[in-house]
Amino acid sequence: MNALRDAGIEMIPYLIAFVVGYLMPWRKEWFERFAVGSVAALSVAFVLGLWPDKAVEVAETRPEEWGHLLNLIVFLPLIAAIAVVFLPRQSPKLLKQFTMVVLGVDFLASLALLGVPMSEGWHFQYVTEWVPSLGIRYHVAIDGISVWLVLLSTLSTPIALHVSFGSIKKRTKELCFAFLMLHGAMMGAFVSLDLFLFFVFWELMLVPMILIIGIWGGVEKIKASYKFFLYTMAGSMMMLAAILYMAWVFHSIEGYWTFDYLALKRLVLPEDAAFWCFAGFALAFLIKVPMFPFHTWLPDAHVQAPTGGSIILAAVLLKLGTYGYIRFCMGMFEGPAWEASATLAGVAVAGGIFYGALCAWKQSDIKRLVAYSSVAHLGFVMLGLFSGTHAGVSGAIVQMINHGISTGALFLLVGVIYDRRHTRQIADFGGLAKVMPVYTALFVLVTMASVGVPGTNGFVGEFMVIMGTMVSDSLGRHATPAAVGASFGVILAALYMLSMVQRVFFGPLNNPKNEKLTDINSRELVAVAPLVALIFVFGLFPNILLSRMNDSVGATVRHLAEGRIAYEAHAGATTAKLRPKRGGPWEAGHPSPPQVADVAVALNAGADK
Amino acid sequence: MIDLFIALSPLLTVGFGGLLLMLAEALGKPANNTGMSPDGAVVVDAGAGRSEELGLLATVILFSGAASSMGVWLADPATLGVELVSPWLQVDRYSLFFSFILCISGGLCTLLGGGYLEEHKIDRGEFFTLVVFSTVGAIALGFAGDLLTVFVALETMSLGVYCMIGLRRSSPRAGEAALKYFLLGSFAAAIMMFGAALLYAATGHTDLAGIGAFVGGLGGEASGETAMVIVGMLLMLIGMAFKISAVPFHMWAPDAYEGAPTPTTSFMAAAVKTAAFAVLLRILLIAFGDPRLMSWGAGWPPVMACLSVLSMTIANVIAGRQSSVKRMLAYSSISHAGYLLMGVCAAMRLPEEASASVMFYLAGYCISTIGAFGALILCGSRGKEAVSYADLAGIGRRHPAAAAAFALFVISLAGMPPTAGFFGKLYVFRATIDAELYSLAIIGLLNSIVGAYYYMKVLVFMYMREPIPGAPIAIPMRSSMVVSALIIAAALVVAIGVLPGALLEMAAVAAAALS
Amino acid sequence: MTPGSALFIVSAVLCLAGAVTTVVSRSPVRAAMGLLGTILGIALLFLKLRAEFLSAIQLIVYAGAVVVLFVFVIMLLGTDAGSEPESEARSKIAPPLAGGMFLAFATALFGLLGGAIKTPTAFTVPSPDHGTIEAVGTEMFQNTLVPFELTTALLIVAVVGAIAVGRGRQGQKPNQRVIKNPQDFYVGPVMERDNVSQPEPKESV
Repeated sequence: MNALRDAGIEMIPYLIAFVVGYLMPWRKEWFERFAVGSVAALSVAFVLGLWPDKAVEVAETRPEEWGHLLNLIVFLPLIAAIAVVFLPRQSPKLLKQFTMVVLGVDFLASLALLGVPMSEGWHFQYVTEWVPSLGIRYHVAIDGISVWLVLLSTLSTPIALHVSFGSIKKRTKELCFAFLMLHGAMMGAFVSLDLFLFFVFWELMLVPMILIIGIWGGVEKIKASYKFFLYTMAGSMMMLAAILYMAWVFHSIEGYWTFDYLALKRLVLPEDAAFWCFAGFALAFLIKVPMFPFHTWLPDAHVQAPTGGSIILAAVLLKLGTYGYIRFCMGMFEGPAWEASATLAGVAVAGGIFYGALCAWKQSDIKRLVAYSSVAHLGFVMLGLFSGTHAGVSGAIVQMINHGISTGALFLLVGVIYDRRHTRQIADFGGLAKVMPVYTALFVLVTMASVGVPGTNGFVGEFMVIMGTMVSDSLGRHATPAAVGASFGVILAALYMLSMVQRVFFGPLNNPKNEKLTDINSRELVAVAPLVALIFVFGLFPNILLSRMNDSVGATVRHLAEGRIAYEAHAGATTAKLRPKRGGPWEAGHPSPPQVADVAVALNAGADK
Repeated sequence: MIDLFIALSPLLTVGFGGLLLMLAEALGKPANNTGMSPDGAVVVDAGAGRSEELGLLATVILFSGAASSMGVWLADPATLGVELVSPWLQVDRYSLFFSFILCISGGLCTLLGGGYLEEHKIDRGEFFTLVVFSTVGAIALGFAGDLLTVFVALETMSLGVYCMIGLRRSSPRAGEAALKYFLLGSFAAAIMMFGAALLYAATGHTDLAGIGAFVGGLGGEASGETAMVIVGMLLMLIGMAFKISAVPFHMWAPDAYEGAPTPTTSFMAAAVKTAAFAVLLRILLIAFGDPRLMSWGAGWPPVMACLSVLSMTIANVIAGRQSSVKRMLAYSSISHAGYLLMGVCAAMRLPEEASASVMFYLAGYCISTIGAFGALILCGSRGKEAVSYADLAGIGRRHPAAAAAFALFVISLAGMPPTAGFFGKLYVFRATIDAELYSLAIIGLLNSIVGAYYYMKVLVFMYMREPIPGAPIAIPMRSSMVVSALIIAAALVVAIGVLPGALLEMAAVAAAALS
Repeated sequence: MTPGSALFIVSAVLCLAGAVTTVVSRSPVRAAMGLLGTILGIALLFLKLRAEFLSAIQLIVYAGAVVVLFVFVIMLLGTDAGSEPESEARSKIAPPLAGGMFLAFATALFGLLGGAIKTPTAFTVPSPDHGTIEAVGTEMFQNTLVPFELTTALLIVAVVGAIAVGRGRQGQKPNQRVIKNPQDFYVGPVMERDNVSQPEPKESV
């Protein structure tokens, strides 16, 4: 009897599918209905057949941490994106409210991440098998570095969307879908510790972002979205090749497949292979950052994107490049990263900080100017990372957060006058301080933060980066010139930002079209207020950031040095080897060899020959 | 004996289903609007006007074929007394995997056909019979373990397709396409036949295992037999390359794809290619699986690598320059043949992993490409078919559901998550890298960037451009059958993209059954 | 030269010449006759291989039925039916190029296979009765029953396909002829008197 009942329970999904198919309203004849129902039941059978029947295996989580918190943060927006598809297009209000509520819940959930001290090791870790036969696991966790980026994203996305709702009135459904999808993918990329999972989320970000640029963008929107798409695609393909190669090397040593970061981190590759894999990853990340000479997509994308898109792009998407560099390039290819850092630091100073600043200075379009200033700021971030010192890396991370806040705010404010005047040419403005006093005050404040005036957050980051560069081992004798160059970069930043502010806000109000401008409204104020507040919070109390990232940065720098020594000891070898397990909290969740008598063995049998 | 019938049930279900379909077409009551052609003349045309019913019946038949493939798979074909039909038909999990994919593809095509033929007033019942019997040929091709059955099955499949292309008699393009495909296809079959004859002359066997054993027993020195085997193999490969439309044997494909009614095109792009790959892998690994023939020096890997690189590169470059979406999809299917051939190349070192990757890729590719053609069908209607990119401008606003479906399938073809195409691409590239064919993998990856460009062009036109004022626009059609095909395909694409585990394991088991 | 090889050479030449005639000739009747030549050549080759049954079948089915059917259709449509005026855009280089490539290919093939043709090791001498009806029947209905059964699908496809392509152009051509009475099946006047008694078949609009 029990067997019968179980069979009955198993039949339920098929029956439901059959009934739904049968009752589809567009069919008259019973056999047609029957056929549609059968087709539906068969599809369900197929989908259920695909479902992995492996028991979920969760790694040891810390008792005070809820293991599913990161899953919630990542999948809430993704599921909401799918839900948006089924909401009625005719009621934009419902769509907007739904999306904002989801993003708000996501933000609140991410605040809970701050509830635990970010001690050594991974936090909120969650591991389960995803595609066991390929060794792909769903492995998410955060540390003191990624927690800030997660928070930055959960804060910026609602702000960006809020701003977008102000200026974008058409195709709200697509807008909500794209933002939710993008947000979920970004969250996923920040928390993934499986290279494959990271790659999935990395690719998943592309389509929503090109939709945002391409649908609601400016005149040249299509060119800009092609450019963005192809640059990113080119980088990620090389990264995919490197990922696959590393998994293959790991498999040939250990005999099982895995794409796990913690496992692949243990690989010590021979010089050539290490260099090419590093190059594959670095290319993907440096394009995303973007670093000279791959930066040419950025001004186009920024200028053409709608305000909300620019905010997301500046605040979060570019950070994926820098975050990826810390996590994957410095984490897995310590030797090549160390060797390349002097050269890359030179590029960051000359091509990023100087060239970016000079380009920004010559721009006549405010948004383009801010875009180039991003190139310069991210030059600082990259310089801090290349320095490989504790101060430099911490400064770089602080600077990443700052750049997200201040540049996001700048784009938001530029969007404010663009909505009013539909131009962004500096020459069209002048003397705006007289008609828009509050707006001017905010703009000047944010500019100060962007320039790095002491007391604002920008100062802390830049100062730490320069300090870290000065004492860097990896840069060797180039450390001092790089630090000095970067200091000059700060002066250049003041030059271009302040001259822009001067030309736009002060001086005579001689364009009659500007006389009727209204000051910033409450919607825009609500959007920009948290960012302005954070500028001061982080500027005056940088320890909020630093104390939480301290352990993680320490571990990163320590592992970098250790890895470099292992790499150099391995020099001249032609085959890869595996570093012994380090143990401790940083390797919690390391994959273990799969149990034998698995179908996966059949899959891999061929590879063993 | 009854076991044997169970083992052959995929083939028998579809075959007898085809007969049933013919009966239904002949005996069923004609729909109201037929029996009279527009000018009042009586035409005896039993199947006319009933394409929805017949399409649905054909779909049910083909999906039952898929279900019975699955059933035999679960029942383990090795225990079903299949050695009686061996070596003519090799009923193993390898062929069952293919018959499953082929039945699903065929079923989706008949669903599309049901909507399309009615909309475009070519509602001819023969279409469905032809699809079903072509699928019989395709399944038999997957089963075939002997050059004789290979040939018969190949012809069964191809002959049906030639006729399906020429179904629309009023269109000169369709006629041209059918003739071109027919001539080149027959030519390819003749070349293959010549190759088979040489192989028989050299080895005295027509069964693949026998050829493989003979080739394995040949000495290392260059003998007359070795030369004959190599020439025979090359001729066979040329014939296959025609069928999978690999560059430089692809000349027929864009014209045939473009001229054919779209459901036929999707059948050609999906089922014909899949069946050809099924038999290609089997021939290469069973008949020419000798280590000396699987090396770079002499044998098929360099040939396959050349075909692969040419197919990917040339097709991608040309596809980027097309203004017709249908033609672009045709070139894209050529470039996918290139990616697949990359996986076939990898089989030289890792036969199991590589063939599993090719099989998984084919499953994802079939569903995505049928879906893409289906979405293209849905975007147009009679007289206002969606052909060029410009026709798609603004579809994202005029028909959001069709556009969303199209976008999903195009993303899958471009190999981006969360779709089946992503895992397929990943798996094939993994096999290629594992086989240490790095340069091939890099060329493939660079090509997928080029490919991403023209797939994105579809998105750009659908969502980011508006139609030029005054220009004729494609008007989306209404058809529950096309819509249900798209829903099934989309569900499968996403399901395989998110939970590929089970299908991957099936592909691995199937590939293990091959060797 | 043995009589056997003389027979082979004669039949091979007949085959090739017939095939070339079929492809090259502009007159459909001549092409059909070329095909007949090829078929006769193949039948002779079968004889040479002591496959009398196949030879007879070849003659009966192909020469007797297929070619006759062709000729019948050609006669029905008129010998000049389907012949087209000289095509305007004829490539100057394509035919020589194709011919050259074919020659190169054939040469390469013979170069490669030259040694092999003399030494077929995989075969033994067949029994003298391998070409009899019994032998062929055993082969077809016992040994190769599965491919033989498979050809049923091939035949069904061929028949259905021929119907699909050959029949039905409903509602397409604007000036399609309407068949209302039996005479209308024929293109021209069937007999001289029909021309007088019957009006011209109407063209529908």
